[in-house]
Amino acid sequence: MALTDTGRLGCGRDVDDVWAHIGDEPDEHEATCPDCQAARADLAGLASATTAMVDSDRDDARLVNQPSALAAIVAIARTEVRRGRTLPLTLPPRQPSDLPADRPPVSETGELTISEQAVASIIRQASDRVADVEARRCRVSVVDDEPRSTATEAGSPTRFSVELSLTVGRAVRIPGLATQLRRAITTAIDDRIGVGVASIDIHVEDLHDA
Amino acid sequence: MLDQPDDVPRPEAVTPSERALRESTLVVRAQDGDAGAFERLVHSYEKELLRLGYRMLSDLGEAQDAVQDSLVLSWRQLPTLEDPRAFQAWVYQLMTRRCLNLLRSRRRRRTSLTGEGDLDQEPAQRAEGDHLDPPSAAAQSSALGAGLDVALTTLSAELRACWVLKELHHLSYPEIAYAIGVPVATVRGRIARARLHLAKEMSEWR
Repeated sequence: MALTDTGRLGCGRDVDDVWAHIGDEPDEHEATCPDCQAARADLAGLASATTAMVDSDRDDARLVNQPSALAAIVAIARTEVRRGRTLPLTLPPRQPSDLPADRPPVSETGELTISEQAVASIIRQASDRVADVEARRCRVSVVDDEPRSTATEAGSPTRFSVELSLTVGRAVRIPGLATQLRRAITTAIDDRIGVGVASIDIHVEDLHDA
Repeated sequence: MLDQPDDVPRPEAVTPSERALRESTLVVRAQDGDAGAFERLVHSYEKELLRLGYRMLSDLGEAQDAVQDSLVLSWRQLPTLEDPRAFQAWVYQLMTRRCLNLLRSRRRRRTSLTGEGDLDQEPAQRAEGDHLDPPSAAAQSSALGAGLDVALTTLSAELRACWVLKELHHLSYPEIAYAIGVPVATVRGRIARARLHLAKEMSEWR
């Protein structure tokens, strides 16, 4: 056995140096040195056994996680989702006298709210249909844009303000993409949630290769 | 604990888009609370983490539990990950440390049962359980593969972790240093010693 615990062969050569080009032909010294030849033989055996182990582990049908275990991981994540703020979809009445006469009081129709996370999910979904952009962080808040006419205020839809960070393709023209993205998001929020979008602040945080 | 399936479809679950996204985008979305993005990360890493766990622990059941623990932990700690591009090294870190902790507590358990602290015996005495026995078919068909299978279990936990991450998972030295929490030079030394030990074991075995 040519290998010693010091990592150095009898001839003085470091085992790491032998290992570094184990796949190549032996160099001039190794071709004639018995220590190096023995070390090369042992290390070559280890190298091919390592390759065989990588392949067999990858193909081993028994070496798998149970689908139920994976589902449990995701289920735990979903129960612990950080849902962010709760956003009202309708404006609450300031005082009872604000209520218009032809409208039922808000207390009878009940509140309608949505989590920031649910809105973010709709926004990500809409942006995934736009090419060359990947939406990342998303913040949504309700715009408090006073003054509005008090007669229509209570029970009328709120409006959202969105902040979105993105990565975009290197070759893409950003202003045009932003317009396209704003349109897609505004349409999706109107369709699904029925509120308007006051502003969408877009921050391009990275560029990616197409 | 919580192994019932999700009861109500949630917006993030019904997202039709399975459009390919960069891993860093999935990581940022998961940090932002998107469980659907996290689910995609789980599916892209679970197999390799299990292979890592199996070669560290030599026990399939324990490796499966370690994968589950590490991935749940990754969800909980994701907001602390600063660079989303470091996710791979980071999730390997969670899994490797979980395995090292399990090996340490195995050793403690054995020590307290026998009243002896013979740490050198640790690797050879494997936990009896779900060991994939006999070794996987392909490894068995190659005598070399089977020899390595056995030789690996005679390495100490620290050397084994470095060697497995380098040679079976192809992590870089800095990534391994990060995963284990030791300097790069230490990783280099451990891998060299692990190689020596394995080559020796295998040449004796032949």
